[in-house]
Amino acid sequence: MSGKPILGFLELTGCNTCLYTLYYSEEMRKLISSSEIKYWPSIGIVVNHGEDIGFDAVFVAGTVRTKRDLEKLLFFRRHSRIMVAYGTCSIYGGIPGLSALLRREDIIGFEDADEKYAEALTPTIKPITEYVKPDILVPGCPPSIELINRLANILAENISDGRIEKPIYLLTGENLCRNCPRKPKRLDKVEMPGIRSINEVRVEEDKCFLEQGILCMGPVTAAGCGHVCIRMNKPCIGCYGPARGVVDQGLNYISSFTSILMKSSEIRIGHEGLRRELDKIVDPMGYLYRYTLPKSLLTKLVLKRMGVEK
Amino acid sequence: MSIVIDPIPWVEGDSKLVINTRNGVVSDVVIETYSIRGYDYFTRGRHVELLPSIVSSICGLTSWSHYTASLKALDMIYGRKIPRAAETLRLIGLLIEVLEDNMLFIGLKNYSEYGNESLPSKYFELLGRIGVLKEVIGGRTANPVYGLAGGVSYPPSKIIDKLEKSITSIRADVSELYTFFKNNILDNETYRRILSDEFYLLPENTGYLALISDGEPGYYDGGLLFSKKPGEAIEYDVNDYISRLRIEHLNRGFAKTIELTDNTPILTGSIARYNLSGMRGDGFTSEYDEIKSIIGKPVKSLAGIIGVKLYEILYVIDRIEEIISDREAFSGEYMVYGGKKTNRGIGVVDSSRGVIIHSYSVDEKLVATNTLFITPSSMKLGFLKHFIKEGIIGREYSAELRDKMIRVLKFLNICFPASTHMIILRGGHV
Repeated sequence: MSGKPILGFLELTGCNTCLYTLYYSEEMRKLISSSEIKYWPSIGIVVNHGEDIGFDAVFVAGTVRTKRDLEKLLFFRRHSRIMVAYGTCSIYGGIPGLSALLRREDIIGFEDADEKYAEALTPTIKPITEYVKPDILVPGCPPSIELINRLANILAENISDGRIEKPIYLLTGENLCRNCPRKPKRLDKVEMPGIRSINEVRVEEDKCFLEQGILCMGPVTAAGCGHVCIRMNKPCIGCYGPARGVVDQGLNYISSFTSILMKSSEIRIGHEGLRRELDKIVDPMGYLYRYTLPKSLLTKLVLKRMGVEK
Repeated sequence: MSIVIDPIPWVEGDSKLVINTRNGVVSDVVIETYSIRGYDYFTRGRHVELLPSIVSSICGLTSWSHYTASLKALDMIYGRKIPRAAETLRLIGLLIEVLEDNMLFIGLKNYSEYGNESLPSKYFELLGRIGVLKEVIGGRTANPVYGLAGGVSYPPSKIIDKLEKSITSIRADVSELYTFFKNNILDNETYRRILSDEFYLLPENTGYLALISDGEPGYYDGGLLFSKKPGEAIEYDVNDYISRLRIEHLNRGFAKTIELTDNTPILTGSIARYNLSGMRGDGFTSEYDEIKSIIGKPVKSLAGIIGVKLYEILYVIDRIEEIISDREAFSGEYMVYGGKKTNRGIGVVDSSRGVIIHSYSVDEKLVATNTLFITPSSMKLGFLKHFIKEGIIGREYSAELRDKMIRVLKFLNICFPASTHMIILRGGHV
């Protein structure tokens, strides 16, 4: 690489706020100010899609929902030495991924409209990791300032080489519970007394949410956010994606919390009692797959049955 | 002949502009956007308590506003009147977002057209300071997590010292940046030329929509005020307002446009607030007068938006300082429980880009059966449609006209993804 590093900011389908949060980090500001931005449409910097620019690093936010998204993603992969999958949408699908089990015709909502509308979309919504291999993966909705600082340091170290040999996942993969400030002293004694809503009960500020009956995605979610929700007196909602070893955030979570749900009264209430308790989760998809639905085994199975995927 | 601008620069979301001409005269203008995500479909079937965390990402740069509108809808569904301390914290969150989004608009989105030097490092340091403050208040810098139906999740008094300290530094940065932007944009010849160009004049029948409380911008609360002429504002009940809307789709793609049924184009956001309210704080008095002497009040040109946004940045700082001077407003209860649940909730806020309305219907298990999101970008697209019809179609095409049109899109600060919705609204929301 000669001269200033060339950066691109690719905004695919999503809210794309992550890209603006890069400026919150002092380290990243240093990196950006010593680089040249050659692509960032929403701040007016565009290139023709066919233009051949060798990007040293491209930050990609959002998911692939349209055929144009896919074309751009593949173009930028070909023309960037380092591709950063930036934000949960790009890695797992994020919030827009909640449409993964819907037919594209449903999302459009049309009955008589021209076919070209549906044709503009890909058959289903997918994160970029389903199409390309990013060099650095940074989850978060959006990533925390601390994480952006870390990303800036990694880029600063590697950008002049222009290559990252092995993909870097910016988190350790440990789950959120491991260092949770509310971690119970005796893990073998943890029990969920039932299922309650954070909006219906006054929670104790230092006690594990699960022990208070509140669904908290901590056991299956990768740490890296700094326990922000927990510190805000709210349970984890899973936005950093699955922890290491978790194949399917929702399924693993079901396995995890049902093993501690009302365990001391399990014999007394029986299957029926447990079922009644579990029925309180009226929207399992929203609670358990809020950020990772397109990557779930459930989605893969359903899309196969719908004939959308082979 | 067709002139294609792909992608449209300066706006959020993947979009394309096609200007068709016949014999050198603009015959048609087509805007295409396909960045549909399906919020008004996949939010149905969700437990309503999850919606704030889901819908905040409708627009990344106004995520706090969508989050707050959603929380207000939840308060109504849960039948809870939130305590003063919680309301104060929610308002502070909104004001900080207005400050930041306006700063992004002036600096990252508009400055390069007028300034000769790079944006000062102070500008980016300020963005950094705002980010840190947002983490303190809402946990995450975007898509905050501090809300509950009936309040907020922690005592606001816990952060008042940090907030006070942070606002003092932000005020100092803003003062410095005010001089920079005033000298480099507002006093710039190009800007003055654009400001006096008839092309950008706001149509006479423009209707302004904002949340106004006691003659000042409400942001979190207030009456939904609508006016075609200053001094002749009418206050809408939000249900009545929704029933008067006509929702259509822009000529191609999924972008939705919203106009009143009487064809009045609606302008919402900073200009509407500025034109409809006093908008004056106690701190930056000479700066307010300076800006007003340049852009006028009411503002009559869309190009006045840069001056208005700079004005509003100062106003927001004054407003936050006024709020935090009353420490009592942060103390006491911050969350209420109980309440009689209802099956419909509406939340309205006035974001940096304009009025946001969220309306949810739920069943007895609090599962959303219908959701409606009215975004400022949809209203501005209605305005744009009118602007194109009256001001562009039939004009002789030139590169200058093309650039002016792109500038109009930039001034409107449109977020295309936030305005994309289903073609047919099943269930008849409106």
